[in-house]
Amino acid sequence: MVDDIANHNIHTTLERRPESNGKPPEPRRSPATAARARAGFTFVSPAMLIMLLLVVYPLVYGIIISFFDTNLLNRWDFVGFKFFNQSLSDPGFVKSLVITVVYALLVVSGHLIIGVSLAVALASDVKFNVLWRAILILPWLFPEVVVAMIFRWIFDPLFGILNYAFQSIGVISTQIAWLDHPTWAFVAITGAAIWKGYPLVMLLALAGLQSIPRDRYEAAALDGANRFLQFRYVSLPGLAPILGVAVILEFVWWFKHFTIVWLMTKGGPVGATNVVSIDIYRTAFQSFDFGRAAAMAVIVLIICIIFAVVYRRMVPDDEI
Amino acid sequence: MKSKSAIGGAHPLFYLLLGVACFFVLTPVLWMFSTSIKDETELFSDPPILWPDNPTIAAFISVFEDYPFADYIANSLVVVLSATVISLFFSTLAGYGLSRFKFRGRGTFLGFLLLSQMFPSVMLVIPYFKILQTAGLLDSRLGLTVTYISFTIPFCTWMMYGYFRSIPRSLDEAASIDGAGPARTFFIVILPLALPGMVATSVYAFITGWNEYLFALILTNSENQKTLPVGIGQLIGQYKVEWNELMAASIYSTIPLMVFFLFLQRYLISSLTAGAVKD
Amino acid sequence: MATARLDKISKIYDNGFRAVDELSLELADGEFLVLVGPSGCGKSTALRMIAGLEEVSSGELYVGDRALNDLAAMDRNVAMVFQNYALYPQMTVRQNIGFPLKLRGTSKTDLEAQVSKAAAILELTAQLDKKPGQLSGGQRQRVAMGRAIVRRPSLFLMDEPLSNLDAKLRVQMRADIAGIQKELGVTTFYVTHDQVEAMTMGHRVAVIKDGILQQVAPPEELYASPRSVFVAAFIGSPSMNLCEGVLHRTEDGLQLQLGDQYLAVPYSVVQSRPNLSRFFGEPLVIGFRPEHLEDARLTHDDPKDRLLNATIAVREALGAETLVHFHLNASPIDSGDPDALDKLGGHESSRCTARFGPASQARVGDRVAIALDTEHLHFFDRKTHFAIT
Repeated sequence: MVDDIANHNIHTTLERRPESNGKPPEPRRSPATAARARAGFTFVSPAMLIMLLLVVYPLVYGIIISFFDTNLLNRWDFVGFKFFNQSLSDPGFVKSLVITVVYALLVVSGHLIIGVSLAVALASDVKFNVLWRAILILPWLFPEVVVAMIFRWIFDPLFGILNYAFQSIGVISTQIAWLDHPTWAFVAITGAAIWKGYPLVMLLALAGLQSIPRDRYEAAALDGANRFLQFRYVSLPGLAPILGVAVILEFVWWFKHFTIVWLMTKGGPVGATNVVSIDIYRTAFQSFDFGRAAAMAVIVLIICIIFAVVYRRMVPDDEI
Repeated sequence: MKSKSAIGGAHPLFYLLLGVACFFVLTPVLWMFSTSIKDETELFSDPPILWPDNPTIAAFISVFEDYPFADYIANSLVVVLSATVISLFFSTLAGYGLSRFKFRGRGTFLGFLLLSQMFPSVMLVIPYFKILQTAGLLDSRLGLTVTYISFTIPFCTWMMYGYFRSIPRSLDEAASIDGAGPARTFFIVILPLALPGMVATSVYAFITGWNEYLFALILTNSENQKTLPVGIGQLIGQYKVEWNELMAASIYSTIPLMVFFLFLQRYLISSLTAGAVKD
Repeated sequence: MATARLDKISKIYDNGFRAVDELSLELADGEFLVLVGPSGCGKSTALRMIAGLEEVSSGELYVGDRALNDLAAMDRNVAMVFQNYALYPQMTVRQNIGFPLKLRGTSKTDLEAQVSKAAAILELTAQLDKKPGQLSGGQRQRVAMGRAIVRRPSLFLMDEPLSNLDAKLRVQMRADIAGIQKELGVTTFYVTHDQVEAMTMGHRVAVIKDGILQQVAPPEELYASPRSVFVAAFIGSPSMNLCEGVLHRTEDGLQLQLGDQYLAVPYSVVQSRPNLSRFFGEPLVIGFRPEHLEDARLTHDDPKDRLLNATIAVREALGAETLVHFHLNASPIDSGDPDALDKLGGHESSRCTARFGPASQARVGDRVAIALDTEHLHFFDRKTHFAIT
C-alpha cells in the first residue's frame, strides 16, 4: 500500500516532466533560515559598525573636504571642483603621478622576479633550506623606517659603504652623493623598497609552489619538458591565482607608499622622487592647503579604485 | 621530512642565486650592526671601517639617555598591542559570520573589505587629523589606537574570513545536528580550530601597526607621545646624525618583530594560503 | 523511534534548477531505506533537507506526526553520519561521542554510562581517549556512528558513510551498520551511489535520477521487476543488457527479433504482461540480465530456438564464473545513467555481457551460441522507457 502511493507519484512526476509549465513554485523561507541570517548578522555587526565609524565616516569627510578651500579651523570656502581641475592640469602633480606609477611598477616587478626565483630555489631540494629561509626573510622584519635609515647610511656621500665599495673596485673615482642625484636617488628608493618587500612575495610563491601536486611535474617531464618548460607550463599556472591577487595588492600598497621615500629623499632632489603621497603630505601639512590636498588624495583614491575593479575581475566569483 | 621540490632537485644555479641574495640581505644588516657598536672615533672615518676595533655598546645605552626612547617604545607597544587585540577579537567574529552565514549586505561588506585595502593612507590622514582634533584626541595614545584599529580591522577580517573558509562546514553541520546553536558551535567547536589563523592574523596586524609611520607622524606632537618609528625618523635631521645611536635604535625596534616571527612562523605560511589556494 | 514521511518535497534553486523534484516517501518505524542513484541525482540534497541543513523549497516533512519544515537542525532530534565523518578534531573520541549529550545538559554519570555503552557496541573502548587524527578510517567512521547512536534520535541519516573506506573494510562495515541498525531499531535513511550497498543493506531501496524518484521497492523486486529502463540498468552488476527489439506474433508462436536474430518466446511472457499484446510488431526496449545468458554447450536442456550467435570480444575469467562481452546487431539504448558506457567505440550495435559458468571453453574471437532464458525477459516502452506490464 505504501509502495503504491510512492509509485503513483513516480508516474505522475515522470509523466508530467515534458509538459511542466516552467514556473517553479514560490520557495518559502522558514523561520530557521531567518534565524540563521540574524545570527550571521550578529557575528558581523560589531566589525561592520567599527568600520562604518572609523573608515566610512572619515572617508566621506575626506571627500567633502576636497570641495572646500580650508585650513580646517575657521576658513571653509566652498570651491566645488576647482582643486580637482587644478590638480589634474598641474604638471607637477601629473609628474608625481607618473613617478609614482613607475616606482610602483618597478618595485612590484622587482619583488616578483626576485621573490619567485628565490621561491623556486627554496622549493627544490637545496641543502640548508632553513638557513637560507631565515636569512632571506629578514628584510620583511625590519620596519620601513629602519630600512630607510640603513640605506641612507649606506648611500652616505662621505661615510657610506657603497661609495667605499665602488671606489675599492674602481667603478668610480670620487665619492658620489647618490641621493642628491635625480636618477640615482630614484634608483636608491626603488632598491630599498625592493629589498624591503620581496620576502612577502617569496613566501607566497613558496607556499603556492609547494601546493602544486608533484605529479604534474612528473607528467610534464615524461612529456619531454625540461626544467624551464616545466616552470612555464606547470609552476607559473599553478602560481597564478596566488600571485595574481598579491600583485594587485602590492601595486596599490607601493603606489600609496610614503615612509621609505620620505625618509630617504623627502621627494627630492628637485622632485625626482616626489611620489604622490609626499606631494599630498606637503600640500596638507606644510602648505596647510587641506582642500587641495584632499582633492589630490581623492584623485589617488579613484585611481586605486580602478585597480580594485580590475582586481575584482581577476578573482573568480566563487572566491567570494 | 622531505621537502616537496618544485622542479626536481637542487641545481647549482640555485645555490648561486641564494648565495647572492643572502649577500645582499646580510650586507646591510651586518653594516647596521657594525655601525651600532662603533664609538665616535670609528663612526665617521674615511674610508669607513668595516668592523670596529673597539666595539662598544655605548650607543645602545645613550639612546635612552639622549632621547625619550623608553616613551617611544612604550607608546608603540601600548598602541599596537591594543589595536591588534581589539581588531583580532572583532575580526574573528566577523570573519566567521561572513564565512558561514548568508544575510543581507554580506556581498557589499565583503566588497568593501577589499576596497578598503585600496585606500591611500594619505587620503585618510587629513580627515583623521581633523576628527581627532575635534575630539581632543590628537597627541594621545587613545587617538592613535583608534586610528590604527581603522586600518587593521578590514585587513584582519579579510584574513580571518579566508581562514574560516578552510575549516569544513560539515563540522558546523555536525554540531548543529548534535544540538548546538550558532554561538556554541562557534565558541566550542570552531574557535579552537581557528587559533593558528588568529595567531597569523595578529602577527600581520602587529607588524603593520609597528611599521606605521605617517599617521603617527601627523597625529602626535609631544615627544612623550610619539611612537618608535617616528622617534627613529627624527634621529636624522638633527645637526649631526649619530648613526650609531640610530642603528642601535633600529635594532631595538626590530627585536619584537623577530621574536614574534620566530615563535609563530609555522602558522604564518599555512594561513597565508588558506583561503587563496583551492586544491 | 518513529515513522517518517516525505510529502512531495522539492529543492529548487534560484536559477530554477530542481535538485529534488516532488519526492514522496513513507517509512515505517525501524525501516532501513536506501536512497541510491548516480552522482548529482539529488539524493544527498534530499537527505540534507531531512536533516535541516538545506531549506525545503516546497513540500512537507514529517517524523512521527511532527512537521519538521520550520525546525532548525538542532531541534529536529535526528542524527547524521557524514561522508567525511565531520569529527571534532580537537576533542577525544569520548568527547566527540558525548558531545550531543553534553549539549543537552546530561549529567556526568549518565553521560559516561551512555558513551561507554555506545563505545562497547562499536568496539571503540580502547580508543576512547585518542583524538580523531590518531585513528584509522574505519575507526573514525565508527566514532561518527557512536556520536549518532548515543542520543537515541528519531531518525538516522547516513550520507555515503562508506565511500571513503577501502573495499574490504567496506564489506565488513556494511554488515556492521546493518546489524547495529537492526539492534537499535532506529528508522534510517541511507544515501549511497553504490548499488551493491543498496541491495544488501536496505529493507527498501529508492532509486533516484535527476531529483525524481524512479522506483521504491524491496531489493528483490527492483531486481526482478524494474519499472523503468534506468532502474533496470542501474540495479545489478554487471548491468542488464538493453537493446532494441521487436516482438512478432506468428502462426508458430511468439518471436523476439533482436537485430537479425530471432528467438522463440513462450506465451507466458504475454500472459503475465497483458499490455504487451498492444506492442506486437513495434520496436521495444528489450532487457535481459547477464546471469540469464549461458554458453549453449553448458546448458542441460536443448535451447535451439532461443540461441543468440555472437563473436566474443572480451573475456574476463573470474574463477567462479566467466564474463564474456559481445556485440549484438541490435540498436543500443541510452539508459540515462551518465556513468554507463552503452556504446563502446560508437558502434551501432549493442554491447552485451553474459555470465558463463566456469566450465565454458569459449575464447576471444570464437563464434558461440548463447542461450537466453526467455522466462526472464524485460520489456520497456521505447518512448517512455517504462516497463510494460
